Amino acid sequence: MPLLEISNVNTFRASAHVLRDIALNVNDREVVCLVGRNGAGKTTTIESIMGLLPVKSGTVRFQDRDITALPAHQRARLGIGYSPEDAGIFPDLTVAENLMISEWLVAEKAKSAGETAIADTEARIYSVFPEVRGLTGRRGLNLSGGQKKMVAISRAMALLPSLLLLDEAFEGLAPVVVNRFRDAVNKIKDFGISILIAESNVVTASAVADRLYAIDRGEIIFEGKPEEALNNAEVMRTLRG
Amino acid sequence: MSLAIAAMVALLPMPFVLEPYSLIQLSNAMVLAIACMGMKVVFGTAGLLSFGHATFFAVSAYAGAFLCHFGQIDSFEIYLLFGVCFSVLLSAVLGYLSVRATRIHFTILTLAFCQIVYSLFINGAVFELFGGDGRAIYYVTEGGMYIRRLALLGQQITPPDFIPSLYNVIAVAFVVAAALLWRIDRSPFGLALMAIRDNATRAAAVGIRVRRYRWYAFILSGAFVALAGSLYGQLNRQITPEQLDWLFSAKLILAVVLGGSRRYLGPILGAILFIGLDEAASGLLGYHGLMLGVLLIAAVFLFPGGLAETVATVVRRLRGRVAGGP
Repeated sequence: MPLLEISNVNTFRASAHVLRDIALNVNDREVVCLVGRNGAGKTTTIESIMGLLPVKSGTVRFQDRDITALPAHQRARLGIGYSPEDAGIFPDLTVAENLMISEWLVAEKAKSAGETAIADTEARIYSVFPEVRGLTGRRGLNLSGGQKKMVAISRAMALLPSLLLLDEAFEGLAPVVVNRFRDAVNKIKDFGISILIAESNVVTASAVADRLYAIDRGEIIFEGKPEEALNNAEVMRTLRG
Repeated sequence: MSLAIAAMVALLPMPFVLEPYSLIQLSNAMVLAIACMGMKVVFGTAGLLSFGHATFFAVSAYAGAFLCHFGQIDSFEIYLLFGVCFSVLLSAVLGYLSVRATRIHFTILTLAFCQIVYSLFINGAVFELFGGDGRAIYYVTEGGMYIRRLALLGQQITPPDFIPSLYNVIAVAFVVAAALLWRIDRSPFGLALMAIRDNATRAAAVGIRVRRYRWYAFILSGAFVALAGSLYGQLNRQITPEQLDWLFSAKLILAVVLGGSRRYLGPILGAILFIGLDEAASGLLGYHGLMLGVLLIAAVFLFPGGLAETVATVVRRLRGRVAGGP
């Protein structure tokens, strides 16, 4: 049974029909990339999974539970971490405070369930992004683009998710930083966290993905191994425009 | 804790230092500061612009006043407790409905609720609930309510000692409220409110119950404002529909903005500044409104991010100079 399973999802933005019968799944401990050009429907797919956009029809199942009608905060509490395209760092809060909110929510959830919260959250985060340790006192407003993305992923990890949704995690980063993020993705996967990445660069996506979906004009046009996508001339032509 | 003790030590000798009028003005400033702390929670921290908080300020005093008058109650503590609890319950109900809307729609809802309650008092409908006696009060006071000097801790205080005694109560309430605001601002709950203010969608995506927390913030701020309203009623010995009007909410917002809505000290400095400007403007008889307007415009230009922001900037520069040496 997949960790995340999306079936026949149709989503609208205002009157525009953006996603058309989208179906994809993410298995346990798997890195899946959703690749497409700008405007293809990647962010809409991620936001539909996260509950930030209402799904018109179709179902979203997580851990064998139908979450299609659940609000975003409940999906986050179920274990879906989300790092948005713009990082979504709260600008007036320090990095430590950005992380503290997630840790507090996890502790609150554990308390209500009569469990003890996992104490090594910060150790996990710093093992993936040691740089974050040095940023804890800095306000979100004063972070660079790459730092914001690191903190956004760290904040999502602080929720102890089973699944991470990374929207354009590599976009706008210098090549050396992209390599740094690839390593981070592999480390996160080693913690047993599955990852769904929305990415416009098929080469970058292929370097980290176990499986890959290609999306164009709101429809899934390819599903398979990254090397199969790279060798598929039609898919590559579509993805490169 | 040490800050609270320091504030208490600074405030307690004032009845022996200040003349009665200044003591009343300082009490008024502290009462306004408590109300502004409430506005800071809902507006500065949670980012919700409410024009409805005048309701909780005035209803708290009205509820206590009605209880004391019709229930023959003479205890300040019962007056305060009943008024605050009643007003907090009202804030829970109105807040529950208001936080269903966001941004300008939230503001309009709070404004509408405020004016509905105002109209119930101004047209005498609330006084009608108390029969002929209530109707008589309404016709005599035009919707106001006189609040006699109540017994503090079971003791009837003589008129000359009443204001200094009440001042002490207000000072304690002020310090407790300031300490509570300090805790809220630094708690995970306060951080969650700030996150919601900065970006509600992203806050929901990290697991924050946006609507629920907005409601909690609304109730909490209602409690601060209700406390201030009860204290105001006893300090001024009356409550009138003027404090129920949405313009009174605007006054609270103005004071918070003047002080700096996102700074901890903002509501306190804003209240002091507002009372100070009001006092300065009152010197010009017949031109009070005009003068106050001019002074407020000057204050906005002088302290663009609020007085607390200006103070913080000055302190930062002075520290920089000290660290940099001569």
